[in-house]
This record gives sequence, C-alpha cells and structure tokens, in this order.
Amino acid sequence: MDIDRITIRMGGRAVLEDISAQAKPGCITAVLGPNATGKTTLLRTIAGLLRPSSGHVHLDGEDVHAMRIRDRARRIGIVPQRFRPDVPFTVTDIVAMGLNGATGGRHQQALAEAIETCELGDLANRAFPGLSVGQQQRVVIARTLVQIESPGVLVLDEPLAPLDLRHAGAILEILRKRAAAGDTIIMSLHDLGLASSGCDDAWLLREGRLEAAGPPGEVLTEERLQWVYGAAFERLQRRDGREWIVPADC
Amino acid sequence: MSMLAASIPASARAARRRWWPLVILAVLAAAVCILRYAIDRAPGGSVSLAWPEPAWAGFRRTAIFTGVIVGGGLGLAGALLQTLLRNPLASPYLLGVSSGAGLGVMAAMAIAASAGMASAGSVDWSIPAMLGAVAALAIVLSLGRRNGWPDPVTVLLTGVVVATIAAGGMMLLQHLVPMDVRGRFLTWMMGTLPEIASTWQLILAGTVVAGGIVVAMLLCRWLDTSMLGDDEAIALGVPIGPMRLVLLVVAGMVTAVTVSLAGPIGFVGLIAPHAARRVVGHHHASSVPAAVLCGVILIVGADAARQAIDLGTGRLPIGVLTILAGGPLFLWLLRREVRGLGH
Repeated sequence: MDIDRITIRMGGRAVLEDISAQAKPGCITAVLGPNATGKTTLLRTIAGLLRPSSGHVHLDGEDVHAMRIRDRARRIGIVPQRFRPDVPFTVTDIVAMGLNGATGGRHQQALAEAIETCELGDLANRAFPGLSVGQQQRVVIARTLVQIESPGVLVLDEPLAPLDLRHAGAILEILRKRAAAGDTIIMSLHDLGLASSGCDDAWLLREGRLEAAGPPGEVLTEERLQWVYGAAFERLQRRDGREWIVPADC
Repeated sequence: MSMLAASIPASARAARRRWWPLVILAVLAAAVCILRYAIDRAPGGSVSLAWPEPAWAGFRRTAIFTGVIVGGGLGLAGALLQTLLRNPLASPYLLGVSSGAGLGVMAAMAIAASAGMASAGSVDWSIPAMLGAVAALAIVLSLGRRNGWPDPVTVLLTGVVVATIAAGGMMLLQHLVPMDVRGRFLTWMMGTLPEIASTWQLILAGTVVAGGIVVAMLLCRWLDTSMLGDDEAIALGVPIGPMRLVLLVVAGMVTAVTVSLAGPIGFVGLIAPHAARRVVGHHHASSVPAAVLCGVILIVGADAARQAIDLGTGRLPIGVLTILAGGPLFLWLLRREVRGLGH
C-alpha cells in the first residue's frame, strides 16, 4: 500500500500534511504519535472512508478512493477506535456482517474460525449491547478478520486499548499470523514498547506531519521521541533480548 | 470447528424462530380482514357478524383492499424511516409528506370553492394530495443532503420545517375559504378508508406499496449493517448514501400514495415497526414484513372496530381511533422496551 503525498484539510486547517509512506505486505506497521496528531484521520483515509484534499492512496497500483465500495470492502477492513455499543444483534450476527452476504461453506468456516480465534465461542449467541467494551472490541476485530480476503489490508485504530493483557497478546498473535499469510497490517498504538518489539515498521506523526517512517529501531530514537512527545523515554532490555521503550519518569 | 457446530446452527435456529411469528401475524391480518368483511351494524345499533349481501360486498372489499394497502404502506414506511433516520420516533409523516398532501388538498378545495363548484364534496382529492405529498418529499430530499446524499439529521429537520410551512399554508387557506369547505377539509385530515375507489387507483397504490416492500426486502441486509453507523457500514461494503436515497424515496412515495388514498392516519406508521420488532426482533428481513403485517392489523382492525362504535354522530373517523388506541399501546410497548433494557 502506497500513500502518496496526502493532505487533509478540515475547516481550513491541515489535519494531515504531505504524508508519504509505504506499508508492506507481510508486515505490521505501527502508527504512533501523541493525541490529536492525525492518526485516526490517516487510518480512515487509508481505509477509503475519508477522501484526501490532495494526494492518493494506492493498493496494488489502484486508487483506494476510486475502487468500487464492495471491492474495497473485500480488500481493506478497518477496526474503528469507537463503535456503536448498542447495535441490537448477537455476536454471531455482527461477525457475519463481515461476510457481506456471502453464504458458502468456505465463508461459514471463516466465520466459525474468527469466532473461535477471538475467543468468542461462549458469547456467540449473546446480545452485543450486553458485552463489555473489551468483548465488543474482539467482536469487531473478528468481523474484520472475516471480511478481508487474504492478501488484504487490516487497518486497526488502537485495537488493543480496551483489551486485557492476555487478550491483547492473543489478538497481536492473530495479527502476526495474518501478516505471515501475506496481509498488510496497519495499526495505531500508544504503547511504544509494543511498537518497538512487536511491529516491523513504525510511522511517527507529529502535528499532522510524518516525522519518520521505517524500522522501529531507526524511527524511535530517544531524541526524536523527546521532540514528538515532549517527554523523555528510555530503553529497557527484555529477557528475550528485545528492547522495550518506556517513559523515563514512570 | 467446535464453534461451527455451536454458533452457526444456533444462528439458523434463531432465524427459524423469527419466521414463526410472521406466520402468526399473517393469520391475524387475515382474521381482521375477514372480521371487517363480516361485521355489520344495523340502523338500530345492534352489531352482528354475517357475510354481507352482494349489494354491500363490493364496498367492504374496497375498504379492506384500501386498509391493506394503507396499513401495509404505513408500516413499511415507518420501519424504513426509523432505521434510515436512526430515530425510533420517526413516522412516515416526518418527511413532510402528509402536510404537503394536506396543503395540496386544501389548495384544491379552495380553488374548487372559488370556481363555484357546489358539488366539491364529490371531488376526488387523491390527485392534489399526491401532488402535494410528492412536492414536499422532493423539497425535503433535495434540501436534506450533505455531501450529495441524504443526511439523517438534516432530512429530519428539513422535514419538520417543510411540514410546519405547509401547516401554515393550510391555516392561511382555511382562513380564506367558506366554513363548509373548512369542515370538509377537517374531515379529510382525520383520515378515512374509502369504500368507493377506482380500480386504477387501488392498482397504482398497491403496486407502489408492493414495489416498496420488494425493494426493502432486497436491501434488508444493508439496512441491518447500516445500524452499525455510516463509517462501519461503508467499510463493510454498503453504499450508504445511495441506499438511503433509494429507501427514503420508497418510504416517501409509499406514504404519499397512502395519504392520497385515505388521508393522514396517525400513529400506525410509528407504532407498527415497534410492535413488529417486539415480536420478531431487529433483523430487517423479518421486521420489515412484520411491520407491514402489523400496519394491516392496526388499520383494518381499527376500521372493523369503528363499525361497532356509535357515539350518536355516525361512525368515528379511523384516524381518531388509531390515535386513541395506538397512543396507549405505544406507551405500553415503550415501558416494556425500557424494562427489557433494565433501566
């Protein structure tokens, strides 16, 4: 997926300015930056939900904003940061919406697998509004897994924020498997440690501009993080040898 | 694989469970139609059930056909609008259609009166009603857009304002016309199921309502997905703008034909979708036909009930009955819904 010089203006103000980057198939790309820096706007633009004021987003050479909406839905899925918690359907109903009406055995198999891998089996016939926010988040992730025909693009806006540590780890593992199967994963995160140790690439945003893009080890330098976040960070060595980035004063 | 065994058949069972209430509603709708056909009140006031004499049978059949078209149409339009406008209080008349129709009828009555048409009481008001309704719908849909497509909040607000302006126009015309014309207009505003209607009119109205049901059923999966919100629905492949435009036109045209046929009949389009969802749940594949059937039951049932009620001033206008009976029924449904949410 190629992002080619996109700028988004809202109310006369540039929310995103001249962003160019590439997300590679088989990789997990972390979108990082402080609050109100344009992460959600960038992800919605990549998913085709927001048309840029200038610039283009291409998937395999095709402009995602010129694609037929149904074709795009098969290739790009988004897990939004916020969703309606009161949709009066069951978990299975909502996950099945990702199938877009497809009813074949292969699709039913994918539906069952997504419910199982997101650990929603016991909740399959429960009403969506009765679930906790974390459970609802797993339902929306399962729906997006069902929706995308590999190799596709999964765009996730802070997908792990409402999840407990065990489920966050499980979802991350699912995303790694999808990436290994050829999908492109792009997700916004606030956890720099996770971005540095669990992602293949990182895009660092500040005030609507892309400060740096590349492997997390190159992008997430202490000086750059100080500049972007206005706070000091330090690197810790984990037992498995990977680095973890944490705020210096915590 | 265990989930394949557990969740999917359970979902299929749930789908089957949604169809049984539809059969029961269809039987109930047929029963009220038979009741309306058979119920009779003698000049002395006694009510009886018997097949009508051939001389009267045609009138009753027309009233039943009209009731089925109007009730089904209002149920359909209400169900669509409550989803499209994301508002459980949306009724078919929120699009300004009934007020537009009322202004059309009032204007035609004023023109007829000023032209000295003494027998204006026998004039067919369905054409000016239809013209007024379609004009109001066109204004609401053309002004209620955002980024080129109908926007729920803008449509809602535009509908309310257009209805208010049309109501102002009606008041002005009522002020200008003679008292007898005013009385005739008020009678039209209370709604009535005609026992005499031209065949072409019934065929046209029936075709519009049936076509609307077909379109709604074809798009019912998209309607389900649209309940997630616009962004999510678009991300899942639903062309939300075009879908909303098509179904608002369907709801508006269906309402327009029902108003032109029977005048504005209150509450049915509001209450039928709520009753339907109580019975079959929120899936549009079952709640849309259920709302159509509930609309038929409410209208034809009210028409049958008013045959048996005599307050010494002739049969009650059907609109009075649907509001007086529908209001408390709606409050009861609302209480049950709130209790179901645990509040």
